[in-house]
Amino acid sequence: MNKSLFLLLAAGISALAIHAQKITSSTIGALEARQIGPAVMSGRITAIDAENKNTRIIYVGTAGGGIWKSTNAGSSYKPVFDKHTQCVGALVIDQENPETVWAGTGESNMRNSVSIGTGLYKSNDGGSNWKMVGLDSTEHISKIVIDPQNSNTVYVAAPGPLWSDSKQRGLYKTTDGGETWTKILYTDVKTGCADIVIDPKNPNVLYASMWQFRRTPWSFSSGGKTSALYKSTDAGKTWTKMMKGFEGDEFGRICLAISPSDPNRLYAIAESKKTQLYMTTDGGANWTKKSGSMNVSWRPFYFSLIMVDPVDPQRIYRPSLNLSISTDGGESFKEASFEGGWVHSDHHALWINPNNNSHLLLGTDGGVYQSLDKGNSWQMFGNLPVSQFYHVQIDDQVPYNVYGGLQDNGSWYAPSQSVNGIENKDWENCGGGDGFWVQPDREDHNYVYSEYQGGNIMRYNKRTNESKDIKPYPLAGEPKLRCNWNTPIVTSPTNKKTLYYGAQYLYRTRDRGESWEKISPDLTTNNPKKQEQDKSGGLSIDNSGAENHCTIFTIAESPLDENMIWVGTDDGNIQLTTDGGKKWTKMNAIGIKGLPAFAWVSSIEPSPYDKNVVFATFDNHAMGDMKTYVYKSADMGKTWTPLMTEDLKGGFAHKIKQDIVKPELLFLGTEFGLWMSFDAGTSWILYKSGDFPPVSVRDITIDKNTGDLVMGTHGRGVVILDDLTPLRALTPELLGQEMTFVAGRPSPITNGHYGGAFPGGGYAGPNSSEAYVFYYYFKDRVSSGEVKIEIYNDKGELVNTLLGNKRKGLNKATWDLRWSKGPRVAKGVKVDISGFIGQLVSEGTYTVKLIKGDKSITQTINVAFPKNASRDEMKQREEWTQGLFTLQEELAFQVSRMSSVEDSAAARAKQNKALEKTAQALANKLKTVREKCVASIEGTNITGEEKIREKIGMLYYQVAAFDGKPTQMQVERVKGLKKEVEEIISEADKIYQADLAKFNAELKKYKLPEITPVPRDQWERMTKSK
Amino acid sequence: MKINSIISLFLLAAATTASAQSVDDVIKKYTKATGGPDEQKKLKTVKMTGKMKQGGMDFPMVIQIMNGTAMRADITVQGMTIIQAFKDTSGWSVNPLSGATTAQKMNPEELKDSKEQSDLVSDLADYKARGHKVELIGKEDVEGTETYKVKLAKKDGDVEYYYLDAETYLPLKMSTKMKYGEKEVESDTYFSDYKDVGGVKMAHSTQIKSGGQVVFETVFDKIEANVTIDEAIFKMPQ
Repeated sequence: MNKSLFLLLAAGISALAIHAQKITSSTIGALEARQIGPAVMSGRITAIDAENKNTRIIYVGTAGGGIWKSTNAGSSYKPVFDKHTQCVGALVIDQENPETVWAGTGESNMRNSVSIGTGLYKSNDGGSNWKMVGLDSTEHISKIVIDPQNSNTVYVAAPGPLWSDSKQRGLYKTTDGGETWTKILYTDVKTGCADIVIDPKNPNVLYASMWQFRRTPWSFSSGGKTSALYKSTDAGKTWTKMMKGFEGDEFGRICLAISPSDPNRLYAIAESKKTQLYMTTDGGANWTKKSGSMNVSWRPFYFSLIMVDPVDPQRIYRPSLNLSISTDGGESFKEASFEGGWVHSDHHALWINPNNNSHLLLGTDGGVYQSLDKGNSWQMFGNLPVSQFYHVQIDDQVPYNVYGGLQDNGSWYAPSQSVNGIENKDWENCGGGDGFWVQPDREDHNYVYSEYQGGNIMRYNKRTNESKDIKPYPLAGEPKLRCNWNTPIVTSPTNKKTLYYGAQYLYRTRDRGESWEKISPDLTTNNPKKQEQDKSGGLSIDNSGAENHCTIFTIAESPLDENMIWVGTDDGNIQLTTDGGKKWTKMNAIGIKGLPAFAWVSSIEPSPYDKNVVFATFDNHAMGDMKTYVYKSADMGKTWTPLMTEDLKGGFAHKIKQDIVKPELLFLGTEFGLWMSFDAGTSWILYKSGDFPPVSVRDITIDKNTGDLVMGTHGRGVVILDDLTPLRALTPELLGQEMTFVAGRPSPITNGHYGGAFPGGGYAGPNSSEAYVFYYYFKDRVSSGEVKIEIYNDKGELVNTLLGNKRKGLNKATWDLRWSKGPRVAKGVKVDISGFIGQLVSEGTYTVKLIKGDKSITQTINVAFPKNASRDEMKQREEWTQGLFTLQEELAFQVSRMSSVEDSAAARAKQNKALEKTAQALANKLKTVREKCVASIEGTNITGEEKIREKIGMLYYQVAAFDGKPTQMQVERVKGLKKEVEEIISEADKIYQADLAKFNAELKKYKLPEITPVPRDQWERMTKSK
Repeated sequence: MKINSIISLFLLAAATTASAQSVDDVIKKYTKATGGPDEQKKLKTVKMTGKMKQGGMDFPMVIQIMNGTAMRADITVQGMTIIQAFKDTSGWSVNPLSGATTAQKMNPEELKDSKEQSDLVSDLADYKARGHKVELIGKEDVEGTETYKVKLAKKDGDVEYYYLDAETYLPLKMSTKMKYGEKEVESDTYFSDYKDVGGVKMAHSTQIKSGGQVVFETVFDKIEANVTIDEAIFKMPQ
């Protein structure tokens, strides 16, 4: 054999062998995470459109949570873009073919925290499926317009990259429905297309604005000589600058609106040293100055939208800090009123119903609002969980609470489990402004540390709702503190009293912020050129704190050593102290191989297993570099090994987290999703279970009690992946097996604590299961043969059967720790509830049998009462429930027995007419007794009829539904019902002894077989259900 | 020619074949795998015996179908029988669990569902004749298995997505978007256990999942083709 062919084959075989044991995204596809919200404050909305002919169909584009569709005017929404980039800049429905929807990814509200897109997407089926159709390197798309006379002609405005030069900017056009694209307006690598409008009556006429802008990590600049407004009258072939009447010679962002009822009339807000609204009534040839009030001029790079009423050309809407309305063609504005409730500030999207101009949908930094009266009153949709967390933290309560801060929505916390699920009402606000880090006090759960932008840290008291400013200030003679927009406040894993705070110095408090100790020198590069934020913004100064630089961004104390503290800065320094802050060493002084200098240190994760081991992520996206940087050091930061692999395509990295049980298991939060490594960073998979989107995962933590992975996402709120146990169990050996059980966390025997109650309204995030979850693994998909799980007790009785999944990889099934069946109930005209309720099982050992076709495997498990439960009470509940169960079955037996005697008697009577009378008499007697047992009124109404069966059934249900012991009254009631059943037995027996005996004597006379009431063992056999 | 280039040529050819699959190629293979309309039309009647499984309980079930025109399902719960039946244009049901022992008329949604179920001819395979539209969306991973995702846009506005196992071309999953007046209802169903029934491959197990696990399953122990069915069973009892 040819040697090279042999080698090739050998390589192929070994590759196959490795492949067979590789964990992929679908291996863990059944392990779906739950999004617990919040939707109470929702998140930044960037685009809204609705079908003109059916305005109940609404699409909402969000800054980080994808696209949501409603088919019922907003009563409910579903995410429809979960396979794709979650940051949406523009969204438009082709009104001629409303199943066609275009979405441009990459928002163009160019704030510091803005994400990036991956191109333009198109759906031909109302959002069910999307295809990327080009412009994949534009990073930001601000607007899409469709030629109203030709759906295949579409224009796309791409401002282009925010953080770098790019030739990808400009105005794009397709005439073949997105197959091919031509750039039809381009200025230079710094100037992109900010806005485009089309004349609805003459689609050859277009207006477009070009915008020069740029961010660096420490500055923002909007405006320059190349920003301008253009017009084309030949569908984009040629363009003419159209700015006659504009004041000044340098412009920033220009937004445009054309009047649908009078297309020669346009409005434009042009950012300049004096930002101003202009109007033209001659198609752009001449522009007249209009209002320059704050309604118009506030942060023009961020608020770049103006719209004209579809009917009234004088009525203009200006979404900005708040929504302003002009009724005089832009001469003056007034703010829309908020009758009916507060409306979140910072507005970026507005839809006006073209058929009914009173109907508006407004997109804000805090969700979507609807007005039915031209903006006088508003109602929020509380069902869009697109909140943007920067960080997430948990406490050690049961259930644990989740804390975090959000873009423009303050700081919040909520329990990880709640009645009916985690609803809007479960979220408690604990800080205002833009929220970032939130830390529960480790000693007293009533205290929470939260902050708002620029390092303003507050201590919040949950009981009294009081907040106290506890931020460190510079002492006399000390330089001003430099705090990041997203200033770290971090608690110590070793000392419950310690809280750290990072400016350019590291501070520490051990008395809840009453006093602070500065424990480091300036740990940053302190580069003065990167500290000129007072000049930042470009034409309009914008110094909100968002560009503060040369600051501490991450703080991490080793869980193994209180004196060992790591600090990472936004200008690239990794600093370490091993003596609690006396001496600091810059660990990356000579640089890290493959990592650009000054890359933002986004997270540091000291290993909980070995204090020499530390992981770090770096984020260089603000230099236009979107690559993932994740490293590990095993020598306390002296040398670093990259953990990036070819399969890791997450964009810039935010957070690395090492599992707290299995060191090889790593979680990486990136701009494009959650990544997992099962082999200490040698390979990575993207977490996609349950269509988990490639959302920006900003922060990750693990609860040590439950093994839950808790993520703070920047667009989908808080997401929890319950129970990491099965992920920890995945080893190459396990994956090689054909079928096997996989460990999960055990659950105690309980009725549960989060059952139904009156719903609170709005979004409800699911709870984790209180049932026992079984995990099992199939090497291949099961295409034939039944899959099920049978559970047997130690007597070998079949307790329950669970439905089995057949997927390749991990599967799961939950057992509610009950018997599958309730008691057999006496037959009546209606079903009885008790027949459907199995009892909770007893403590003990159970055998679990996984059946796949004709193969099966077993494992044994122990189940126990909850740790804090009273065993005595649980036992009492068991006994009394079992008593009622037995009683209900006894009654069922008696009723069945009587019925069968009645039936037999009737049958004999048919054989010999002479028997008719006695048979009837016997039947009547039995029927009278039977009717005491079971309700017999037919009908769908509430009959209220209660006989013994119904009484036992309801009591059984009540006693079984509470974990602890029954009440004294319930016990008495059981005794009473027992007596009633005994009486029935005795009455029936009397009839058998007297009347039946008499009838049998007659039967004998006529040589017909005698009737014997069915004995219990025979009834058992007859009714034993399969 | 070097061995490497032969292999790469071979790989290239394989890749080209794979990408050249048109929607009609895929449907052709699906038709062949399932039996298609030719065989499906030969099924005049079908009797399916099995169980509905939910929450640890099995409910015995018998479904009797006259291809495209009538259907009756009997499900037994606590010794009582729930019946759903329809023939031609009207349907009825009896649900003793709610206390009603008399037959009630089906609502339009139930009628539409029942009609769909009674049709044993594949809408996808027969799409041309029925005036539906099809589109190959592409390849998609379904629970670790590679599938072809085919969209079927039906004449009446309903949309079905078929996920055909890329090896066997049998449906592994189907997602439907059914329109009931103003309402649109989406559902996902998973199929397995394909067995031959009178020349037609039929799934003997269908599962509905929630949160990554099975919450509802129907399993047919027996599906008989062309058995005699008394048409009287479809008539609404007075």
